[in-house]
Amino acid sequence: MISTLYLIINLVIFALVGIAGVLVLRSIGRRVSKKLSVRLIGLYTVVLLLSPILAGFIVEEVERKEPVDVPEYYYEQVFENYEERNLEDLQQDEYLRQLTVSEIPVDMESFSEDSPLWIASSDHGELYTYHLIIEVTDTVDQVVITQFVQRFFVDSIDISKQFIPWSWSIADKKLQAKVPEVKINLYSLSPTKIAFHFDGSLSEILQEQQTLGQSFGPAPREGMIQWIQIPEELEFYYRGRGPWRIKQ
Amino acid sequence: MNSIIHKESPMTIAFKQIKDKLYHNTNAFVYLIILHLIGYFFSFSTGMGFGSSGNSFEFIYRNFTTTTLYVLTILWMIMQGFTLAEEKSRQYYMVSNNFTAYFSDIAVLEIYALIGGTLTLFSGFLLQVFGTIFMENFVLHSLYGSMGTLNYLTLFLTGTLYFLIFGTAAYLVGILRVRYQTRFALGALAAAVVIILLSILSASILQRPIFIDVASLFRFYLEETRFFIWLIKVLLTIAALYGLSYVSIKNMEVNRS
Repeated sequence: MISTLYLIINLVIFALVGIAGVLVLRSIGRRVSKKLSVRLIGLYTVVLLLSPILAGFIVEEVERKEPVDVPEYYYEQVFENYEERNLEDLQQDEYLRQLTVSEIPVDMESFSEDSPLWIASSDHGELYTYHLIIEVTDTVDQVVITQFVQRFFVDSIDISKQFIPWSWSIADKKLQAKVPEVKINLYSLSPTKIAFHFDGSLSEILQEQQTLGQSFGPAPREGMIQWIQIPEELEFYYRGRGPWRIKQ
Repeated sequence: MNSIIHKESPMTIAFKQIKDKLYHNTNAFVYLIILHLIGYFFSFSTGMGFGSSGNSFEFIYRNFTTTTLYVLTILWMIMQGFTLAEEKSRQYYMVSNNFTAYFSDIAVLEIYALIGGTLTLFSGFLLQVFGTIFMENFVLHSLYGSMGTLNYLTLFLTGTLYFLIFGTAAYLVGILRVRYQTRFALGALAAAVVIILLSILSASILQRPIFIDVASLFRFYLEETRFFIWLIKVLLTIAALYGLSYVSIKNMEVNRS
């Protein structure tokens, strides 16, 4: 129902723009003097001829790298094989992108067996299903959280770059995360298909564009992995549901 | 035959007419600019997109192309083809016969097609600039990575020649309309009725619903990947359209009204 309404509104806008365009064409087009129209086309040509140079300065270099073929639900595999993986291993994994490393200082004295550090898996009461791996290690003397996201390609553009890491903090003896609202609006410009007229791949390109929407795959927000390193002497208690593992 | 008054060959007169027509129709370029501006607007509002959303996560992806600009330039070429054909009925030029009028018309159409082809070739770059200015998270599709000089040349050549086909076709239709006036309208109507009737009949009797497939006509050109065969196809089409319009204009009375 809403989509139909949306369609109708769009059509009305297009029709209005079209009518307005024709009216403008008729009223302005005929009145513009020859001198002015020559100047206008000259200006337009200059702008167009300059635009490749401008575009070269402004637009980022096209990613010429081939997209990595990331297995679907790769984060699940990482999570299941947590025993065999370690942090350096994940940092070098080409299927994962390291978002950030946050170090949270803890006051060891204030935690004991009776009052351990609580690790919460919810943000404002809302449970988030993320993948949490807690590693108890002696290499750190404070809580170190490394966040990873599964790399995710749309049109061979790496979307995982756009992800905002969660902000972890300790408050009231509770280690908790604030999940930021992620809104990714990605716009891309593709060349007109007839540029590949004689490449023999026209139909392939067309097909590729049609199947683009289907290749969207799993919701990428679930592809986050939080690797939490906790010093050995720190007492902690995990509270919550959600998938999590402890690596001793 | 040389003109007695001007003592000039038909070709010289034709070249003078080309200049004159280009000057007289300078406003055509204003139409082109306005159409292109509309094209830029449409390109950014009709991008193919899809999205996904969940709790605290929203992802929208849109993809733009310069196709709208091509469509609008084709529209412009059709407009110009009609305009040039219409002016046959008011020949105010210097000594003019059907040959010089025809020759200068197709030459002007070719110049228009060249201008259209060049401008639309560069419109992709302008869209890039607009995109980076007006949108955050604007990227180029990976296909741009595989664009080489040959692809740009292809874009220019195919664009120009397709524009020319549409312009010449419009010119031919315009000439036929000017020449046959009411009979043309009746004939077009009759042709439409015949085509619709035939397709209905073929659908009901022969059980083959598609009688005239416009898409297959486009595919005839668009899906040709061998360059020389494509060039022959396109050039033959243009030549046929030129020939037909010349035959139609050849013994036409210059001042009919």
